[in-house]
Amino acid sequence: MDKLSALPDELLWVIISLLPFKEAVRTSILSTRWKNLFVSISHLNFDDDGFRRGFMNSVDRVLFARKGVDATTFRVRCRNPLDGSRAEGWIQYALGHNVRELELDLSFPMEISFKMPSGLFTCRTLVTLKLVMPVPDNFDFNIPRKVHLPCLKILHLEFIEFSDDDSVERLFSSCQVLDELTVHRCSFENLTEFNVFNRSLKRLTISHHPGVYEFENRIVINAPNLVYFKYFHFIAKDHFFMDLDSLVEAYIDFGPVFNSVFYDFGTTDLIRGISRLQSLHFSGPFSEALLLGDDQIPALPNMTYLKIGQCYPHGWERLLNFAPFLETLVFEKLPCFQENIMKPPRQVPSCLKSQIKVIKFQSFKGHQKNSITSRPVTRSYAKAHNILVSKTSVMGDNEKLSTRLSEFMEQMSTRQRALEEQMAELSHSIKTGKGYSKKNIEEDESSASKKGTSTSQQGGFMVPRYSKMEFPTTYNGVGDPLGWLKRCEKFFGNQRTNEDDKVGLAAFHLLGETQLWFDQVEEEEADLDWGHFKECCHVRISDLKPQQQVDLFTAGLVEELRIDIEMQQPGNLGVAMNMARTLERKQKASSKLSSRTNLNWPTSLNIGNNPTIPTTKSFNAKGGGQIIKPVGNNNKVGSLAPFIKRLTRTEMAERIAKGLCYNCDESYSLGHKCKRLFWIEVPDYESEQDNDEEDNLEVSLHAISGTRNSSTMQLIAKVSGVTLLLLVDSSSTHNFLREGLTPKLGLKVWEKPGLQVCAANGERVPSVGICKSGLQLLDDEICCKRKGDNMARATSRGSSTT
Amino acid sequence: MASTLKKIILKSCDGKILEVEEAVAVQSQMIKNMIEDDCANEEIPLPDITGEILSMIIEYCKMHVDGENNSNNELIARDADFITRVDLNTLYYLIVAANFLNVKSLLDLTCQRVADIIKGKSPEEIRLTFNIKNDFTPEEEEEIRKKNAWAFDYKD
Repeated sequence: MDKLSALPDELLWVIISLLPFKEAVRTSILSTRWKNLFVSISHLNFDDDGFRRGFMNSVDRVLFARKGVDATTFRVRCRNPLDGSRAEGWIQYALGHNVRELELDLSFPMEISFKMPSGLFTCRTLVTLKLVMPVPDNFDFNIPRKVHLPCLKILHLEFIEFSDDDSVERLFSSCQVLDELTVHRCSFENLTEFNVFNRSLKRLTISHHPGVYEFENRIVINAPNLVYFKYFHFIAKDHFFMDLDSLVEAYIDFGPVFNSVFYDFGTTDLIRGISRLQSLHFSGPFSEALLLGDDQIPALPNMTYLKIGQCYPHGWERLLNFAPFLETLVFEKLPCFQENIMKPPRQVPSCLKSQIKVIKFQSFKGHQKNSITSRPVTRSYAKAHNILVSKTSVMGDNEKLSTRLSEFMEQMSTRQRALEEQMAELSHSIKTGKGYSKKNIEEDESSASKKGTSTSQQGGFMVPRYSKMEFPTTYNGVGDPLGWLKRCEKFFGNQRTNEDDKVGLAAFHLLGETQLWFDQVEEEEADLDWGHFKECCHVRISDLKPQQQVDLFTAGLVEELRIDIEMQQPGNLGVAMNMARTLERKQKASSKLSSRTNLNWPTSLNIGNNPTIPTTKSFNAKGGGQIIKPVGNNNKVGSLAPFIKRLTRTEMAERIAKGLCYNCDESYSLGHKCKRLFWIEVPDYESEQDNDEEDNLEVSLHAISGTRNSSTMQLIAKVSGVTLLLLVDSSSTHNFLREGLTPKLGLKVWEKPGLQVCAANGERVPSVGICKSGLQLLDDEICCKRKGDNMARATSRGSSTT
Repeated sequence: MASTLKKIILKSCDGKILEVEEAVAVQSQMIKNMIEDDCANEEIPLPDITGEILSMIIEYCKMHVDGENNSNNELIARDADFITRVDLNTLYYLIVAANFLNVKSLLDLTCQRVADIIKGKSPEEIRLTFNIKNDFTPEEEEEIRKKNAWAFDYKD
């Protein structure tokens, strides 16, 4: 007999059970030795991979062919929808054959709701149970009243939708010897509280259904013997209640959490729960959540090992502050996402100075070639622990190293700060860039040229030693000196400037009033060192200067006002505020004017009907190609007048000849509308005649129809001996009279051609003119003419009747 | 340092004697049980294992003891490297020895190797590879084929 066939049955069973289901059946044809091997194996492993049809029948046949052999392991993995009754039959078979390891990875068709046989929860032989239900909707994970799984050690639930709080708690607490629990990608939607109460549990993994990151409910874990805790893909918004006295190791990964605002609470609770651990591995934006959380993160007094996976560049370093006895720090990949660069902590945590023994970088991607390195960082440690390391891998003695490390960290953080300041400055200049006056620009240019000469002059005694660096731009007393001072310091640090040269060098770059100020300081103080110089700088700028006050004020204004004010360059805050008020008034007036005049002449120009409020902004944006229709003289918007470009007669003639629109460069035809929006101004004839009636004229619907409602009141009144029905209506802007009434009442009508009244339905009704008040009751009336003359009532404003 | 570690002495069927550190030897559940029962103070005779196979198994166990601190992937890669160097003939002996010594990880590895060799082959090819003699009559073979026709439907 060949050597393979000579192996004992048990070994051949193992080999056969490792084969795909179909190939395992096929081994029965190899020889008489193999004929009955397959039907008597105790590890059953059914997988529909490689089946297009007939999977269920095949499983049934195999099970039928087996006789009296235990099914120690029973695995079914089926990705295609299954017949529920068949699946139930298989589970019953396994339960009836002393199954120890049951693994079900099943899908069911949509219309069938599969229910687990209740015998599953009272199986005395079951040691491992793994349930994976990729379509949890039609799987009813119904946990019966009685759960008795005396041997169950490993429970793995995946894609399960839990039905209620009680059943979950019952299931977990009934497993007396449970060792390992995995709740992977399950749905907690129906739960208010996820409760794991188990005394024997040693390893616990919880993760949420993918795509759901906000978990509203509470997590209660009471597992005093838990050693390993893995928790990933989400974090409870509300609270964790955990009692994990024996925890040694935790793995925390929150995956891509989108909305991290909620998580500060949860994070603090979570860390409090795992605070007794010794080893922590975390990744995901967890670190950012730490940053958001308050300072109440509990200390991790036993933690000696920390592994940082991929996470945001901020926040992770806070963990170091809470781990005073950290010995090993491992960076797995970069603690960042994509382009973000890892930033060093602002302060060097104490553990880095004293306790740390190993810092490890795993699969680190950086600009430099960082291979995977693992080095004991201090020589004394290496000696003490008998670790053989090459000379280069020992960085130095304890003290020296810690100073170097802290130096490095400090340097990194100053660089970071300098960068941040530059960014702030840049963004500021972008914001105020539009308002930059010419004067400022000139000043900048002049200072730049001066700087050029100054560097050339310095060349004699200041030779850059490391890299060519330009001295920080000059300081003329405008803005905060802090950034400038910092940049100076950085320059000094890099160029190794002598202490004595620092002040002179910096003073050389003072401009304007600061130069005068420095002369004064120099006279007062005999030998000014850099530290003192800095102090003086800070003292001088302790209060906001008038210009800064003005800048602060204008920064808060709307764009148009700000530009106007910045152009005027007000000397102090008071002037600026007055100016702002005046300009605001002006703006209101001009916008009102334009909307009114447009109302009167809505279609007289071949421009769109939209009234536009003149703003300098729009003018600036449009630029040169803009043509604006000539307007009448209007003193109120006088300051804006210079922006108007008029067409000369020849230009007009030229445009007519070309068939172009006056206003844009497209050919003009009937109904042509310019595509651009212009600033529209129209002549205001009214202003010369009468200034009192500037408001839009509106007559309410009630006035026309005579409807009674809460805002109207009808009165019978006698005016000049004529009885009238008065409608008191607060919705109309004026008092309206029927045209025919005026002679009866002896009113004189001021003819006003083109006067229109806006009726409630938006229609414009032509009106004859205005009656100047000769009456006691009514102030003034507008006389309306309407077809059919059905405006039989005079209306009166509510205020005028009193 | 080395003197403090206890050594286990193993004797192969062809008389070869090997000294193994205890930490390595306890990878075998059988030897571990013997140590616990205090039966491992003298040399342990291993009747069915040749010196060649025994040294291979010890090599494998050492690899696992030394690699304890390595990542899982590294260990898997090493296992794969180890097992692919083994020819079929040696593989049988390794399986038998691993089974006898009860080195679970090695037994899994070797059985998986055999399964991998069988995988994807027709019965004829399997017979050829492992030198299995077909002792069925054609009628018997046909009957088995008919009985499990679904499994021999290669189109699926």
